[in-house]
Amino acid sequence: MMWSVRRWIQTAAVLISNAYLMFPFTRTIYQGKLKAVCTPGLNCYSCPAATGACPLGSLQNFYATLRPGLETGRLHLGLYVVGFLGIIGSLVGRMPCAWVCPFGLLQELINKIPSRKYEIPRFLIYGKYVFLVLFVVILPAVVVDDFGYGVTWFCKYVCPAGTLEAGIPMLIIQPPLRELIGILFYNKVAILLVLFILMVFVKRPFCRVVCPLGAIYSLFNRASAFRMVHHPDKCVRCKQCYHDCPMGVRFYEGANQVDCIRCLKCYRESCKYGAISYEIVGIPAQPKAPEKRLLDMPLK
Amino acid sequence: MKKSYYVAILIAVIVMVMPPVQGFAGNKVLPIGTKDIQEMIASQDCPLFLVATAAWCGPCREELPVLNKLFHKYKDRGLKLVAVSMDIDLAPMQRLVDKLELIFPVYWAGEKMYGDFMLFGVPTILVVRDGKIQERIIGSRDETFLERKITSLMTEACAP
Repeated sequence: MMWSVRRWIQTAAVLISNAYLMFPFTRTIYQGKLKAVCTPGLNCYSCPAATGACPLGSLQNFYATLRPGLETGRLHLGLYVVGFLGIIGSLVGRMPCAWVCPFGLLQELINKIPSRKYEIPRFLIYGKYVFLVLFVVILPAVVVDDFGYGVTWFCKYVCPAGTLEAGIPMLIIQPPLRELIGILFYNKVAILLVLFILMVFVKRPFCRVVCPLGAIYSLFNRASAFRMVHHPDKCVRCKQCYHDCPMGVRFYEGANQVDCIRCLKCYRESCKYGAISYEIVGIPAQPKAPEKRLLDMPLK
Repeated sequence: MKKSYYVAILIAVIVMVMPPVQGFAGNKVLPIGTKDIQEMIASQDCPLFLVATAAWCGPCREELPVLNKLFHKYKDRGLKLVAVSMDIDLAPMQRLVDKLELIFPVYWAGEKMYGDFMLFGVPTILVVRDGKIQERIIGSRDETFLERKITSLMTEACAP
């Protein structure tokens, strides 16, 4: 089943992007050559087990050090990170959110706790673009100290993945750090706790409302090489795809919406009518044969 | 054409009469290997404060002026303070040294410091006594804390 294949791939991605299992002994973060490589999903650089760098953190870091970098002749401008995100986005759009993002997996697992589920107001899905523009680009680049250095605003003040993967584990393995706990840490723990509660009742709240990385990938959804296809002639608007979608996407309103993470659940499991398929560089995948509609069945 | 000629002349005059940038040219950041740092540590009979720092790190930029002030105050009483930059290259720390007018020795060892000294963040002050790292002060600390730490370790025997 596709669902379990995805779960395996998600789990493997978590393990690969956090494969430095020596940290309980070294009590420090991995600093080897792999750290120069970005992971496609949201995985904190400062997680003791992290083998790669978070593209969002790297991007903010470039903007925060833009002025001193230019002054000292380092004209990197973060193009490697921009290019990395651009290549992934143009190939598969927001697919990494569904298949390799550790924080996405966490949200899906927590949402499995039995409870009444709620939908978020639709305008909130644009929140992630506000976080992207403000906290990842403008504030790190513009609000600078006397030396021209900015702050990685999203990492420092918002990112719950950072709190969970780096902040809390580092306090456990490095007790002297506990002396430095202040209001900033409590704020971030509060954000994490609120999100944990929301995750039980709402599908992937962080991905849909906050995640700037998902916001970047989402810009490519309509133009990427891998695209979802909707066949309105076969669609009966039963809304099964919407009920099953981990992102609450109403696929029947159009394919490749900004929150479609290409998990393929709707294609593989939800749609019984062959109204959902995908294409790669315009070449359609083998469409799934529609199951017979109940109304079409002969009466006995 | 004539207009742009006058503009060019004007710009040239402005550039020529601009005062030169007053740099603090007294303290050059020197490259150092981590083995040399280990030798420096091993050869210390008197207390040494070895500050692992980086120009990109906000708390480091807050702590370095405090350390500079304390170095001014206690250098004649035998305070030994050395900073080692873990920046990607030498230039960012040199820029900071010039702007902050740091007077204690500053070296650049790069990111190799992390692994070789088991560091996981900056700033970290390695307190060296009897040729060994005896304590690690992790994170930026205020002036009161640092002064208390410095005075508690300074001994008469190490005063020049």
